[in-house]
Amino acid sequence: MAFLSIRNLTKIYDGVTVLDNINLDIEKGSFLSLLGPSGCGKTTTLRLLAGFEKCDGGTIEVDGKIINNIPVYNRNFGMVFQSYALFPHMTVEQNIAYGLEQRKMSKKDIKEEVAKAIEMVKLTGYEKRKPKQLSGGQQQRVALARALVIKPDLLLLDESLSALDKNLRVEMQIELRQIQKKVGITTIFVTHDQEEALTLSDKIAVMKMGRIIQMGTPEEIYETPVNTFVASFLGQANFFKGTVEGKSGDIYTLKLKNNSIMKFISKKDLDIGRLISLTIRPEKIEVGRTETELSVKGKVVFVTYVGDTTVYRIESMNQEVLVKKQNSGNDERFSIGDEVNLSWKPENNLVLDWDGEE
Amino acid sequence: MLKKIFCWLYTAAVFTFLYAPIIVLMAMAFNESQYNALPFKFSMRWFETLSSNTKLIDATMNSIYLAAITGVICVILATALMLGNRETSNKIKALVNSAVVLPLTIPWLIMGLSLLLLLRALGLDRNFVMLLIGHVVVSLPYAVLIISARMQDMDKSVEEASYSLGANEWTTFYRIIFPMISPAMLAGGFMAFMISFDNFVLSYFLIPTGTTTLPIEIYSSIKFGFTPEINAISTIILVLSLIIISIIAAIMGSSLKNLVR
Amino acid sequence: MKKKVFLMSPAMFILFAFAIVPLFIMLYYSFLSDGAVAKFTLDNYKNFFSKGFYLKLTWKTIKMSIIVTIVCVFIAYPMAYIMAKVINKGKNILLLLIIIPFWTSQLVRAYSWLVFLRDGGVLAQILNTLGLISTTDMGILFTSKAAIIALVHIFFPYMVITIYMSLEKLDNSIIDASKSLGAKPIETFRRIILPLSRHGIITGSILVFVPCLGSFVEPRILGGVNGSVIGTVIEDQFFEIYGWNFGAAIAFILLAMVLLSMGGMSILLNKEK
Repeated sequence: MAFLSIRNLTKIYDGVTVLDNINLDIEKGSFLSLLGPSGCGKTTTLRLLAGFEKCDGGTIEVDGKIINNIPVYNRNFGMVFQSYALFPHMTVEQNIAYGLEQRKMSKKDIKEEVAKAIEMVKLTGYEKRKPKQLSGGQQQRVALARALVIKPDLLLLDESLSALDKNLRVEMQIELRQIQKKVGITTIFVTHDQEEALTLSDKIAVMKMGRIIQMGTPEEIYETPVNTFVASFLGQANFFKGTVEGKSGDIYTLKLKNNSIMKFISKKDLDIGRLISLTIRPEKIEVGRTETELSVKGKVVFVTYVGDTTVYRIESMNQEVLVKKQNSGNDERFSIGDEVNLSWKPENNLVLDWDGEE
Repeated sequence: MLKKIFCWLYTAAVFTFLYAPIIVLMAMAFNESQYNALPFKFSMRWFETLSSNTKLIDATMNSIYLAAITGVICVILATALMLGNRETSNKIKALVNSAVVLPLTIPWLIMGLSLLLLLRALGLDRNFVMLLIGHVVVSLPYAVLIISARMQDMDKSVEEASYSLGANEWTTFYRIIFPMISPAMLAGGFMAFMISFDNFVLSYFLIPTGTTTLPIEIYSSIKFGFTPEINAISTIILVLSLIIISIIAAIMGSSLKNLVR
Repeated sequence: MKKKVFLMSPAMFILFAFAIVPLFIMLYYSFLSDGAVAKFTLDNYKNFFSKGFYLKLTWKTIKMSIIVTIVCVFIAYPMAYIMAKVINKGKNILLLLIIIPFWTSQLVRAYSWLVFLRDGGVLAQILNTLGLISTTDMGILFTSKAAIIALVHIFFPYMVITIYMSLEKLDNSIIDASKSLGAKPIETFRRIILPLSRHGIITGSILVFVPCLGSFVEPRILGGVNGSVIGTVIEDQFFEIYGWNFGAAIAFILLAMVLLSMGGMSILLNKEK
């Protein structure tokens, strides 16, 4: 049975349904990211879990027990806030000790646990400092230590890394994951940064407008998104939107919006006349000088050099196609104006539904 | 360049206008002459006469006593009000804010006499309780403004962090919220104290016969012809006010530094 | 939920019961006649509006308040501008210095003007010694001019602060943009700075005008017999003449004036949004 079970979770604010029947199962010890654009409900879900707001419907079950009516301070969850929320008038030690003091531990035990926690986040020597004397990264660690030292059932993080600058952020992501694995604590992480979600998570739940659109491992979500929203939210994608016109064996003919025709291979059984968005990731597309059976012609419109990759914008099928190539030194480099042929392996075809709109 | 000179001159003129009468007053407190006449001859005689003027001293004590109680009550009411107001809907917040600012906009003349009329409607004579209530009503907005400014700056998630770590409402208040707002509470208290101490109008209308406060004494003295002791006591009040403002400024300034990263 | 109500009700109760309710009681009494037997009457109001004395007095009070407000604007604006735009360091010190007189007792300040402006007082003696006036009689005290000076002295810091705050918010780059587009300083002031600091001027005016309407201490102390304003008349009703009900009526009229002017100024404030 899952450690954390959320069933039909609903929340309404001022008449607006902010969370619409959310269902989630999380295994013990795993790391789940709630990912989505602002307003999708991910932070609301977290806050309902933590107990800062009341549910308007549904149940939250932890380790077999329904916790809907348990007040915040009795839920034993550790929370790390976006602003860290360290107690400004207390030292690092006192901040970390606070949760243990609520649990009526002996002074001696508290001292021991606090010391261990400080060591775990690599802040030995900073015990007597006050939050304003710490850098952003250090404050983050104190917040994490404070949440973990109480040995909570769940660890909840609300966009906690978003205030850090890029390099520090990447460093903290790695540390966070290491600590999480070591302690084995079930973790829920809210973020709008898809790269972060992909890096850290065992599972990702992509949310939009109060609903979970797709839940799965990072690979599942990236390689097999269920719709164009998920496909474009994680990573980048090229969408060829149109109608299935004909079929000959495995080869389908697709008539695009703008009346261009292209052929593609798919193992799926697609009806003639169906509206689809043929989706290909930029890194899966190969650019060459020679035509092949299923290749499409194009012209290079823009080239961006990004150090480890080169990004091409190629005008093809009357739309702009994005192609990313690793600069391994082996392949040919193209320039603006070059006439090229684009092709990709059939298994990289993602056939997604299209609603006929833009 | 010309611009700079003009600016300096203007600023000097403004501050002269602002401070000249007060400085003259303070100087006269130390002047021998009974009629505030020049030339200036240094003397402490008015402070000496002051020390034996029991009426004035009693009045001052009354003012202090009244102001202290007002200050404490205002702080408690203002803090409770602001704590409760954080979790209300926006409509109620707006209502509360207008209600609090109201006494600031109504001339104290009207507030004083309306409370006097309230006494009459209740069939009561002037009494200390109504005097105190009047002082609280006009001083409360100032305390509220100071405390609410501080509370708005306070990160709400600090409170939530406390709850998430297992502390209930009471523990969260006295271990987290109270330490964080106590400078503002103190400053608000001092502010209410000063407003009440200097308050002439409300006291004038509501003071029970037989007692008096310092501002009322000063007013009577002025009406009936002044004695120079007024200069002396005014100087003392001025200096004390300055000290208290500095304390308030220091408290608010350092508490801000403490909490801003 | 219960906690909220428990915390907020004491303060709200006190405000309601002792700030708002008494105003209605005042309204009630204004419809009673003074004298041995109180009966319902409109006489109090009739008296006020029919006797030319009271109407003239009302006009005098309004005129005085307007003068004080306008003088405050003219004195305060340059000061606020200097503090906001000309000075870079020391803004806070200047702000503090402007605010300090706020917290000196109202009576002490009024009294200090008494001392200062008296015939034969310090200012008179200095001016006489400097040869600027012929006698030591200044003739200012016990005229409404003196009251105006004292009121300006009390209230213009409010104006400085509100104008300062709205000028501070004014992004300097807007002024630079105006200059770079070729506008002379006066044009920049007239068309950019002034309109954008409107808010501060209006707010400051409310803070000055309204209390002036209700003032009586400074007019009495400094204006003497010539310093009668609505406030002093009300004071007399309560302390000399004991016509409390009539006083209540006048007070209510004053309250109406206050509310009207605040309403008017809010409309001005919200007009160009």
